[in-house]
Amino acid sequence: MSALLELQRSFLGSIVSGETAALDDAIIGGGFTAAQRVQIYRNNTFITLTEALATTYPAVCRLVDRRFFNFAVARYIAENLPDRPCLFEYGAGFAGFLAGFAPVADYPFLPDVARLEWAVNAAWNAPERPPLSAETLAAEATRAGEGLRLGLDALYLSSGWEVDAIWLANRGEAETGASPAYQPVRLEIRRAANGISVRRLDVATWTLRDHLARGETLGHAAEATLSQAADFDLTAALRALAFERLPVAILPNQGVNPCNA
Amino acid sequence: MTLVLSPGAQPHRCGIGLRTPHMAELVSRRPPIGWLEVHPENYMGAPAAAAALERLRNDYPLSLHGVGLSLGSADGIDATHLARLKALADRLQPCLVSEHMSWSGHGGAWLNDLVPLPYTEEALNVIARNVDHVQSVLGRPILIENPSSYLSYRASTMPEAVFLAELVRRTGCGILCDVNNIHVSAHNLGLDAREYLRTLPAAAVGEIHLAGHARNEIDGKVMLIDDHGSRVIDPVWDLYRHALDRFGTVPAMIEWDTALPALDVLLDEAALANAIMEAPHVRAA
Repeated sequence: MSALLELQRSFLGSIVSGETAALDDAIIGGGFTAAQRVQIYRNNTFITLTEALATTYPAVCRLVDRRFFNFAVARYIAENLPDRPCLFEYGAGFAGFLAGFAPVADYPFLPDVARLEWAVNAAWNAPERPPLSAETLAAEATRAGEGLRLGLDALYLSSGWEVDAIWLANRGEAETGASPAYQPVRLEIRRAANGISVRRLDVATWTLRDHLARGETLGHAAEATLSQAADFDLTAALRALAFERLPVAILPNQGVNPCNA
Repeated sequence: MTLVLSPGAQPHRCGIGLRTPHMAELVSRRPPIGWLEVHPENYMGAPAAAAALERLRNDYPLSLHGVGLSLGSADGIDATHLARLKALADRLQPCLVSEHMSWSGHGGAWLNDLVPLPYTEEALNVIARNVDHVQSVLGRPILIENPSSYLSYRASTMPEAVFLAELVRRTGCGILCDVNNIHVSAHNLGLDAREYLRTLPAAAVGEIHLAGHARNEIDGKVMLIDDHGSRVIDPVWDLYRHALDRFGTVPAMIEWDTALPALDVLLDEAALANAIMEAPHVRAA
């Protein structure tokens, strides 16, 4: 292995663990110990990444208070260095981490608040894609039928807690006094003209759109929706999708409607 | 190699680093700043941010100062990140593109900090190969900034300034000379800042950075931390004068990232840099 590759591997390991013995012989002391010099880079890394997570997860940070947040994210950072250089992409696994983090067991809604905040971040940073025209959509629906797969300009999240209310109450500075309520919500998160829209959907609408957003065919999505709401109207649901300008792509590998073949 | 600013650039006026909290005020006031510099990583996500920058681009020359390429990584350049940088550069047509002589990532993990390289022949080969690749993809020369350092390696076989000069010779890249970084590294590593400036190839210097730094005490000894969180101190202004004497009137820029003050404070620092740049002792470029 090259000396540079070995050095960079050791350095990353020291930043994560705080153990610098592997670098002692590689670094010139010059009045400081190697550990003191490496610690500056460790501090810089943890401070930068903590700030990045506080920016992405303001409601989680406020719910647990900043000191506890710093404690929790220090554990998260040590186990999960970024895998991309851009900070807005860092922290995708934070909700999963919180779900398994025993000190926040008394905040059962916290992982779902984090999931919502990540969805908000993802929607805000998603590339801009123009909606499909009604004509394109109609033509593709005719061609592919139940095999149609659509890319939607939104993210879908469900929770047993009113995480949208918790998020709204805790993302700013104002005291709201809102307390978490256990009530299932099904949410659609997408970029809007002046920020991000987080809105509740009924069971049928959410189920159809969630399945489509996962890349499933229209046929599978409709079947899943009918199992939740027997009076589900697929034609009206598709009309609503087009009206809300949600479809932005026809996904590949769709089957051809045998009726039109 | 000649580093050419785009038409409309004002290389004799100092620029500032544009940070998001100043964006709205800058748009409404349109102060007479020479140019703006941004971190491209902040504009690779939210389309609204890039669109706002594109509008400002009509009124100010723009420089993209990257922090995410990790040019010194032994395992090469992240292709996705480089493609994003190219797309942004194609869209914004910046007058300058710059990055750092350092590494940040290895094996798919990123420190989001700028770690110095050992100044060895092997590291020189690695970073020269990476800079060549970046310049080839971008279709333009880039400027490479000297890092601020808190450590150096026993393995180094040449001084940092010699390493940077050799990188210029091998790749045709330019130099972004950060005089605050030279001051910080000189203090932390026991180097001679003016000797550093004398070693750099003057014709390759295409930009100068100015910033403040913090003083941290560790066991009674002072380590300077390049936090970009205060005004430029007098010894760094002095070093700036020396840099101008040696390099001529290359574009300068005020960096401020932490404890961000009012926009007027940055404009005031830029005015100071302009006054020094226009002083009669500075020779023509």
